[in-house]
Amino acid sequence: MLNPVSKSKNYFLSYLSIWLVIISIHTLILNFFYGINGMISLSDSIIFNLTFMLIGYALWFVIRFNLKEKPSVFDMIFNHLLVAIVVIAIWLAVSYFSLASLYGDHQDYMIFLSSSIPWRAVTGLFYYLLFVMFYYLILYYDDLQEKLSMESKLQNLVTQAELDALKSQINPHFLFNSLNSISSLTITSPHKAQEMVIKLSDFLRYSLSHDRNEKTSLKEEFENLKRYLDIEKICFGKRLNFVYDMPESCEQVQIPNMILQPLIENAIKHGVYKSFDEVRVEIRCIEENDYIVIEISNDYDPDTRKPKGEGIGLKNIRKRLQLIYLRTDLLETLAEKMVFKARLKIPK
Amino acid sequence: MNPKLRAIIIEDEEPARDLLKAYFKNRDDIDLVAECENGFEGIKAISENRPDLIFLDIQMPKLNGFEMLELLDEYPEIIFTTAYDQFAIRAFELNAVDYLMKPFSQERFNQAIDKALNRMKSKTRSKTNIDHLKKQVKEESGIANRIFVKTGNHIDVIPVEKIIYIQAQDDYVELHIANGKFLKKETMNTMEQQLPPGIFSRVHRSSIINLSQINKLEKYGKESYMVVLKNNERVMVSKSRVKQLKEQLGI
Repeated sequence: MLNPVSKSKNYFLSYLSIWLVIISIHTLILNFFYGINGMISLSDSIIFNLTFMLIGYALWFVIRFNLKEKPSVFDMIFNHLLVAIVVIAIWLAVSYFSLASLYGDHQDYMIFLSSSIPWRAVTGLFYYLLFVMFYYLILYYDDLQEKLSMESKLQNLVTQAELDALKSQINPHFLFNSLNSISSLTITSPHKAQEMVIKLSDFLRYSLSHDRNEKTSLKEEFENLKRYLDIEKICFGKRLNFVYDMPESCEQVQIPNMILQPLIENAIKHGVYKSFDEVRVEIRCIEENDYIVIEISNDYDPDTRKPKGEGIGLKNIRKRLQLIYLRTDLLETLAEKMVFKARLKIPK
Repeated sequence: MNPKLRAIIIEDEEPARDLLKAYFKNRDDIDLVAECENGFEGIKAISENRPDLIFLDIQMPKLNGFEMLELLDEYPEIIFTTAYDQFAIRAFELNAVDYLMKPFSQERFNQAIDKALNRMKSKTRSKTNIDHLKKQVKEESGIANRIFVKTGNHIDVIPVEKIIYIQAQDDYVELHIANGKFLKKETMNTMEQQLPPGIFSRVHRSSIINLSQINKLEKYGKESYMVVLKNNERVMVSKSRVKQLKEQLGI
């Protein structure tokens, strides 16, 4: 962190002008109250104050250093006392000898100078304290500002995460298209409409009721995927051909709930939405050593532009897998010539 | 009695088509002359039947509703039907009769039909209006990832990355791809606006090239340059565009 005095031109100028005021007052006091010659008064004032101005500037680094070590209160007071004594001693010595070399032959002044050392030391201590307080105040203020901005950033992140979670639960386009299909079926085939309303309700109930931090059996997840695909099948008819291979041995494996939903939604979005012809959407589960592997694949037309980068769906899955299993290599995607495949490995 | 309104449905989901047909049955002032499952069928049906009105879904495979409109020579009145609300502003700017959000009721459907009938009676749409509409569609469509070329009733879909270069030919542009070329009625300026800028470069008043297809840049005459493409064809670079091309190629 920069010294606040040299942070901006204005701060630096204020620092200089404060010292200029002190120098003027100091000169006037020496001249009027002690009757010291004007030139000598000015030199005395400039030498003592300019030296402290430089020392004060350097004190910032002492304080930064002191904070870095995170000392106890006792150590801090001790450190400052030590620094104060050393600094003031140097200050007095430098100023005294400079003035002595300039005005050594002015007897009156030299006597005054020697006798004034004690109260100059007291003034120095006072300056020192002011500097330390000023610097600590600035550090505290900066710290506070940083904390406040961090807090608001964090708040934003939390809100965004909550919103994303909510959004990823149900895809509104799916919902409205299904409702439109239901609206149509109530006229053309009321019995089917009823079936579809029930499927949609079951799907929504499952999607909304499950806490994202829980796990469920693959069997339950798969049942819900089937509901979803059944609904899409009513909208898209022969364009959606759903096949699956789910051995019984996989069914009881616990997986994070709703983790497959975005994958199947992608398969529909990039496969069925973009094709006139039959699109095969396949779900397969394979046991592999310590994992079960769930593969979701769909046909796609390589001529339609691939989405740039990863969509929010895949990103969210990766994030969740990382939080739950502390691994980043569990989800793979492969774009083959006509088939897109997502492979999800779940540790048993 | 007024002649009946002739309408076409263009919609990729069967239940949605069924619903529209059911609503049609309750009106005796409109005739359904064709129903289409996608934009390609839509173009064909529109040019064959010249309907007064189309019901157009926006989200359809390969050729979406807006892209389909771009390929039409004549515009019927349009009622958009969609489950998405984010296209409403575009549809409004295209001066569509109505924008029906799925699912919609018979009443809402009737309202839209009545609006269309009123517009046809007052004949508010003149020729200039249609030209404006057409221009609007093109401007609205923005950066393309596919170019559609219509030859008669046949439509070719060309992914932009397959285009090697484009040459102006009077009122047409000639799109060159690896295994042939296509003529499209379009201006070079519109073409330039529609193609993704990082991938294509207008090197001459009458040519646009795919930057990834450049083999080398050859000096030609004093200050002129010539681009040699990977297929060994040569394209002139105009003096004023050399600097820009070099910047794009990073040389």
